[in-house]
Amino acid sequence: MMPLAEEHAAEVILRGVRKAYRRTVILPGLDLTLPRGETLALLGHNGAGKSTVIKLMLGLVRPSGGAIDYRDAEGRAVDGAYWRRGVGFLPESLAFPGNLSGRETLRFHARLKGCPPQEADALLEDLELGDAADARVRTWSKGMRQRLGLAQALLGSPATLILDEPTSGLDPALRRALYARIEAHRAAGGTVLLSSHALNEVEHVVTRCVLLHRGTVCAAGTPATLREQAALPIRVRVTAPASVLAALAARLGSALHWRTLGEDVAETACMQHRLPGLVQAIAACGDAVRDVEITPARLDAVYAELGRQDAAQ
Amino acid sequence: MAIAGRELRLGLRNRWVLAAVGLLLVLALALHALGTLPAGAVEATAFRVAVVSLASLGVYLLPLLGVMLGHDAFVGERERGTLALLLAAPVGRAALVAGKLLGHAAVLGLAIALGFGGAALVIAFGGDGGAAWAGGAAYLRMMLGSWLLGLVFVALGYLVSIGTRERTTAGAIAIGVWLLLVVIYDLALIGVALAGGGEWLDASLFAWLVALNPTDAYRLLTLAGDAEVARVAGLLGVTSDLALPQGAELGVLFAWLLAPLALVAILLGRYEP
Repeated sequence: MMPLAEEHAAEVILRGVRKAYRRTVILPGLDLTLPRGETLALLGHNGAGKSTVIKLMLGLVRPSGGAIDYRDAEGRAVDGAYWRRGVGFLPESLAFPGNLSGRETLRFHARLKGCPPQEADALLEDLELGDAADARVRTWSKGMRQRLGLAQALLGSPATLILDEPTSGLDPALRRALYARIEAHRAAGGTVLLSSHALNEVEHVVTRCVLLHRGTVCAAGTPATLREQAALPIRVRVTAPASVLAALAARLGSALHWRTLGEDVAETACMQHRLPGLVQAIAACGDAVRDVEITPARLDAVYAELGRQDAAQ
Repeated sequence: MAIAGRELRLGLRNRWVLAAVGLLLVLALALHALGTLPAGAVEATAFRVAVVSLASLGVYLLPLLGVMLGHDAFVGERERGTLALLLAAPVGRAALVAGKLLGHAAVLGLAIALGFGGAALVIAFGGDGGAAWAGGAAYLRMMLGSWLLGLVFVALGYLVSIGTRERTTAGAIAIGVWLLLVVIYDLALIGVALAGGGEWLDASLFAWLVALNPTDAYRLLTLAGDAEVARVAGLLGVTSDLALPQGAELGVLFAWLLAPLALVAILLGRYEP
C-alpha cells in the first residue's frame, strides 16, 4: 500500500447548500460535513440527492445557493481545487471506451493525474487485472470493469476516496474485496465517502451514515445510533426443549409474544431496553438452552423505518 | 496531450481512420481514373484535374467526417460517465477542448494525408512522366484546405455535442448542421439571387454571403486560388468578380474554426455532467 497523499486532505463542509434545476429542487438546503479520516456513507433511494452531493463537492456542478468550504488540518480554508487534487473518484455507472485495453485506459488516467505509468501497471496487478490488462475493455466482465474504475480512483494514492454506488453490479466476493479496500484506505488514515443503497453491507465498513430523503438529512450517526433512532425490535431466537420454552415464556409474562418456529425453536422480538432482562431469563434456564440467536434490526429496515417516520412528519 | 493521444488511439482502434482513409483514397483514385476524360479538350495537368474533382466531392464528404468525429466528443463521454472523470481530473476545461481538438485534428490529418496523399503518389507516378508534379502545389493546398474544412466541422460538432443531452439528438442535429451549411445555404442563396433578379442583392453583398459559408470559402480557396485550376473548374475570374479581399476565404475558415471552439470552451466551463 502506497502512502497517502496527505497534503491534499481536507474537511469538506456544506452549509445550507441548495441545488435546483429550473423548477426541480434536488437539495432544498443541505448541511453536511465530511471530516478527515472518516468513512461516511450517503444512503438513500434513487433520486434522494446522493450523486448531486458528490458532484457538488467535486465542483462538477455549482450550488444554486449556500456554500461549500474546504478546511485543512489546522482549520484554514483551502481551495476546492487543492482538495480535489487528492481525490480519487469513481462515478456511478462508468463505462470506459471498449476499444482501448485496460492498461491503456489506466495509463491514460495516470497521465491525467500526473502519476507515473508504472503505478497504473502496479494497480492492475494489485486488483488482479494483470492477466487481462492488454485485452480490450470490451471483452472484460462487468466486475473487471468495475475494478478498473476502482483502480482509476486509487491512482496517485489519494487522501480521499469518493465512490458513487461502488457495489452496483458486483458479485458478493467482489463486494467484500471492495470493502476490504475501503478498510485498508481508512486504516492508512484516508477519508472515504461512499453512496449506496446496499445498506446492510456498508454498515460494517462505515464509521458514520447520513440518510438522505428528498435532499434533506433525515437521520445521521453511526449504524448503532441509527438503529436506536429507528427503535426497531431485536429478534431473539431460542432453541430448547418445548417444556423449557414454555417455562421461559411463562416467566417473562405476556409482554413478549412468542412464535413457535419448530418443535424446539421459538422466536420473539423485543425493544433494546428489554433485552438484558430477556437474556438473564434465558441464562437462568441453564444447559437446557442449546442455542440463542440475537439479531439486531438490519440497516435497511432501519432505513425504511426512518424514511417512513420522516415522511409522516 | 494525454487526451489528444487517447483520441488518436481511439480513432485508429475503432477503424475510423482506416475507413476514412479508404473512403478518401477510393474516391480520389476513382475520380482520377474517370476525371481525365472531361479534361481532354482543356489542357490541364492530372493534379489540377484531381483538385477540381476532389474538392467538388470533398466539400460534401469532409464536413460529414468532421461532424461525425465531433458530435460525440462530449455527449458521448457524458453518457459513458467518463466526462465526470475528465472534468474531475486536475485538467483545465480549456485544455480538455484543446486536447480533443488536437486528437481529432491528428485523426483527420492522418486520413487526409494517407487518403489524398496516397492518391497523389498514384497520380504522380502513374502519369505521363515529365510534368507529373505540375499543379502539385494546388493539390497540397487542396489537402490543407480539406483538413481545415474538416476541423471547422469538428468544432461545429463539439458545439452540438455540448449543447445536447443525448447522443442520438447530437447525431441528428449534426447532420442538420451539415445539410444546412453544405447543401441548403447555397441553394437558398442562389434562389434569393435568382428570384430578386439581382436587385435584392448587390454584388459585393452576394460575394460576402457566398464567402461567409465555410464550404464556399473552401471552394474559393482550393478552386479559385490557382488560375489553372480555376480554368479547369470553370471558375476563372470568379474571385475577381466577387471582389473579395486577399485571404478572405482563409480568414472565414479560421473564424468558423475558432468561434465554435471559443463557445465550446465557455459552455464547457458551465457544463454540469
